[in-house]
Amino acid sequence: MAKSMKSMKMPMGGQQTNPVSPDTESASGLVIPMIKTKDCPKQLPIYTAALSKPAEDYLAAEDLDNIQLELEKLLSSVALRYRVLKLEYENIDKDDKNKDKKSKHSLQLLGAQTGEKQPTSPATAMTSSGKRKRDETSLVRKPKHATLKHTKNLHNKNSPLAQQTDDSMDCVPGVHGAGRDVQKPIPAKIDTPNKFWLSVEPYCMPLTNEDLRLLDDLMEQYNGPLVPPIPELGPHYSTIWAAEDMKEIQQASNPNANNRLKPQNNGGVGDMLKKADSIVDECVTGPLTQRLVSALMEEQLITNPADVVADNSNSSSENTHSSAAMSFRSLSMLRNCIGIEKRVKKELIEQGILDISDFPNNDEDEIHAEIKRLVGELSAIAEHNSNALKRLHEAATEEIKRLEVKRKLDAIDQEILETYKRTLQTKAKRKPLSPEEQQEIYRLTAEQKTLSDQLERMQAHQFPME
Amino acid sequence: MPLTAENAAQQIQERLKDIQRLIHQIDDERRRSETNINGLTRAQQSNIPVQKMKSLYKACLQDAAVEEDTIRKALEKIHEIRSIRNERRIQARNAGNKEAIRRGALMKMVQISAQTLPLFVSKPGEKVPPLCGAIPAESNYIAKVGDNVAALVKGVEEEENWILAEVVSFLHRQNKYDVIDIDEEQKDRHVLSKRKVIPLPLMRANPETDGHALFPKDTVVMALYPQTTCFYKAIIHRLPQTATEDYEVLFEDSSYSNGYAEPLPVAQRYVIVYKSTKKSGSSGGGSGSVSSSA
Repeated sequence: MAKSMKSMKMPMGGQQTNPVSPDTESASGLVIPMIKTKDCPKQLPIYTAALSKPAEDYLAAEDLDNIQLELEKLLSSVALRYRVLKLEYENIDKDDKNKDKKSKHSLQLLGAQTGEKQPTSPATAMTSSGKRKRDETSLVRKPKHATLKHTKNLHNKNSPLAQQTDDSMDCVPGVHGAGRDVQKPIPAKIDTPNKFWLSVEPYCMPLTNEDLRLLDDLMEQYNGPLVPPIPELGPHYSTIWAAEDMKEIQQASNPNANNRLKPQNNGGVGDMLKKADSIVDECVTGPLTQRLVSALMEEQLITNPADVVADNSNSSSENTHSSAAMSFRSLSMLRNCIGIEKRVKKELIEQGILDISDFPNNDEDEIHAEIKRLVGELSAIAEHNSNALKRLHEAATEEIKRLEVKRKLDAIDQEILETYKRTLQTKAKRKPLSPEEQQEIYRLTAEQKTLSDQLERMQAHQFPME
Repeated sequence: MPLTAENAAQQIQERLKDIQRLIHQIDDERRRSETNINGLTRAQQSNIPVQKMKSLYKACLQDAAVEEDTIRKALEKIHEIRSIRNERRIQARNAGNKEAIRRGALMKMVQISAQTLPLFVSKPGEKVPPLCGAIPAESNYIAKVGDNVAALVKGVEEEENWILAEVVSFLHRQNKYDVIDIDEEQKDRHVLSKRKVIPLPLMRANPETDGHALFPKDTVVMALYPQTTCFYKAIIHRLPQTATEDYEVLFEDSSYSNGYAEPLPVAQRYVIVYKSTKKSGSSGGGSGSVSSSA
């Protein structure tokens, strides 16, 4: 009892758990679980012992437990065998009915390799040796109808081969929906790298003269002055408007106004007055003139108080609208007064009394300042841009030269390859190389070397980046 | 009708004879199957018409069916013998024949009963019945007299343990089981509600044909601690690969760093579904803490 218990506990030959079979076995295919007669003594000892006794005898009571276990083992084997055979039968049936369908999934059934394999493999070896002739002929058919093996089967599985086929179909995108009848799945075309290189191409293309021309055009922009020079301060807008108004009135009152420039001056007193007023405001009120006149006036103040008073009143009226009595004087003054400020300034500078540097820049006002500031900025930017363009231009010319050398080098390479092929052919024919050919080779290689060196030197130039 | 000793012996003998006969029959059928299968093998290697192939397969299938049938019959007989013996035992116990069983012998019995639990081998398409392997009993199932169960009983210090017990009777009116600890030294008899009694499986599941009827790996279960008669909380570590192999389970053990002890083998019969109790009846698991029957 103890012995049989021990044998029960030990994993028996037939019941070793080994769900994965070695590759050699799986390749051979269909496995029908069966305990062969010759394995019985090993796997079912009590059973065999019972068989040795006649059928009419009584089974030994103490063997009951063991017999139970052995019978259960047999039962399991039979049940599995039944399943396997049933599956096979159904598959053949299906194949028979549907001959188009390739049954690559079905007939490859993998049996679990068990310790039983050891007793059975010599058996199969024996059987296979006997069937060697037939094996050779049946090799072609092996994928479909493989040799049957008698082993204990753990699970009915599809062979890894069939599974791989199935899995490979599953993994391929786009084929899944197309059904499993597709012979060889086309791998999905991967387009992304092509797209990438296409997008990058414009930036990597070799330079041409056209690019140089483009650069030249760009540089031209910066050659001339950016903005026109700031014009002098024009007449005050009130002057201009007044002039325009007068024009209109005259045109309105006098249809022949175009020809009357001169008499215009001698027009109505009112007009004259208006004109005088505007001019007076403009011409005479320059600071230099004022200072001069005031200086002169003060001198006269001492000599002739009456005149001074009159002159004072005169001078004081400079900035105001003159009365009618004044108008005559102012008129005559006016004729001389046009541009007086400028003339005084000029005289003083010529006389050496005053210097240009003494004059504060009275052209200054906000707009002028603003314009000057902006012009300054623009010129700075323009300078920067033109410098960059110049550098780019230089680099481009360099690059073009380099490309030229490269092209020459490529051509030489091609020639060398051709020569090499010819040389090989000649050598294959076991003919010695002719001296011309040798010369050619030397020449080509020497040229290649020079060009390559030249290229090396040129590549040393780096485009400095700020 | 109570079974007398002679009666029992006679019936057993009859069956033993039947079994012997059946064994011979089985062998004949097996040989026949083998011949046919060999023929099938040969036929597959040579190119024979499909129809002939099909007929060969059919023959083999038939052989297998017949053989299976005979084997099942033989096993049935064995089962009958066991139940007769069991009945005799119960009768003897009821008659007051209390034989003291040593601990060693008790453990052996526990082991044997697990090993000789009938194996269920399903036919194609057959569903695994309840109380086979991991398949639980139906909710209205009532354990039979003499069935082994796991019973939640209160110990001396108010702690609750699931112990291995045998059903004495079922009290219909109270809806309670009368169970007895199999370790008869205790001479403990408990009356417990149905909730506190879990019937143990009546059949083993065959991993080769019905692997799904086993507890999956990492399931929390209750398992009988080896060499004890108590059930403790455990985790399935490894499934049996053949009909005679045991589960390997990890019992809860606070003395180990990960909280679980080394894997221990437990027969299919003594692995049942985990049932949590309020007082966590699985407390004091593992690490040599033995049941109340120690």
